[in-house]
Amino acid sequence: MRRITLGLLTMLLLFGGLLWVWLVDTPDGLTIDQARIRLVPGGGPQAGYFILHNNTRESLHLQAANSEVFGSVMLHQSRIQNGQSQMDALDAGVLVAARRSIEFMPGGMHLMLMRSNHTLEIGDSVPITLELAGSDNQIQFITHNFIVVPLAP
Amino acid sequence: MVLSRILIWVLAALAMGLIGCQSDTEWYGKDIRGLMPDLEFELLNAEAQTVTQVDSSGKINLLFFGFTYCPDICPTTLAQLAAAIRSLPESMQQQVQVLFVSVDPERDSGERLRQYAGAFGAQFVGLTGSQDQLQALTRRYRVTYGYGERDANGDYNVSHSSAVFAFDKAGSVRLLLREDLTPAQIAADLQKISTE
Repeated sequence: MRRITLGLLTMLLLFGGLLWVWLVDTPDGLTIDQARIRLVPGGGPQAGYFILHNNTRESLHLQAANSEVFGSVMLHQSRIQNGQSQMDALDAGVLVAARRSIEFMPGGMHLMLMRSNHTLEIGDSVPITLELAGSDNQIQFITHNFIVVPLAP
Repeated sequence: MVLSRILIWVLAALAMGLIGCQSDTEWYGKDIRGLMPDLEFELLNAEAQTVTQVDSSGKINLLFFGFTYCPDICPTTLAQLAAAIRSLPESMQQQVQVLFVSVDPERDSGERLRQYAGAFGAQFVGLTGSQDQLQALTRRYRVTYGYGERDANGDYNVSHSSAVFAFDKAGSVRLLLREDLTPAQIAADLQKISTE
């Protein structure tokens, strides 16, 4: 009898804990990891990569990005089809489902960073702002420092 | 008991598979001998001088088409090749050369091309050419390239082949290296070409 009561109590606590996690958003609703710019020499465009975690209960829509350091920041997607490399603008943005993450990584989605206002160097920290829309079309901004890293680590 | 016997068989099969992965006749890349022509080109280097395959003779050459306004795919492929080359014994590193051919001569001027290619290592040579020269070369290796529409800033995308063609020291065509190969696999193929 006592064992059953203990078991029930444990289950209740576990379930309660899960419910708590589900109902309460973490203090940081949106977090960014591994934000980096891979330095491509020659003065052409750079690519920005990151992992964006949506810790909220709401699906969000990454629709744009901008930075004071770059004249233009675009959401891009590389793809290789039938042996051809191509790059497309993600004009429709990217969905970040509730409690899910998206990754911008080499060979996939990336920030296309054009016309920097100064020469970037390894170790520089460049603030980039991501613009996300919720279901009520309310816009959220999240600014993060992207670290400039070497091309071939 | 039965389980452990199955496990031994599975391990044995895996070990045989691993050992058999690269026998004398197998490559990680695709063997394209007889399917593609040997190395031959006439292009311009970063100093706008005409160069041909003769300038690259005596080395294992890796031919890759791209453009310097390509911040994602091209550097990823070139960094893979750089990592493969760095993992080779030092004496062998000098025997490999990467020919990075920009199919965007309008934007890829000498200095930009030199800086971009050179960033990956001393073995990387930036080349480009007139549209006639580039078309002759891409036709020769049955690949294509094309330009997207210009945006308000005059920027445009370029589509290009993702393939890397490998040639031995005699300039004979050998392998097509796909983008999904690891640096270790590319290095193993290069080493095999070099020791033949």
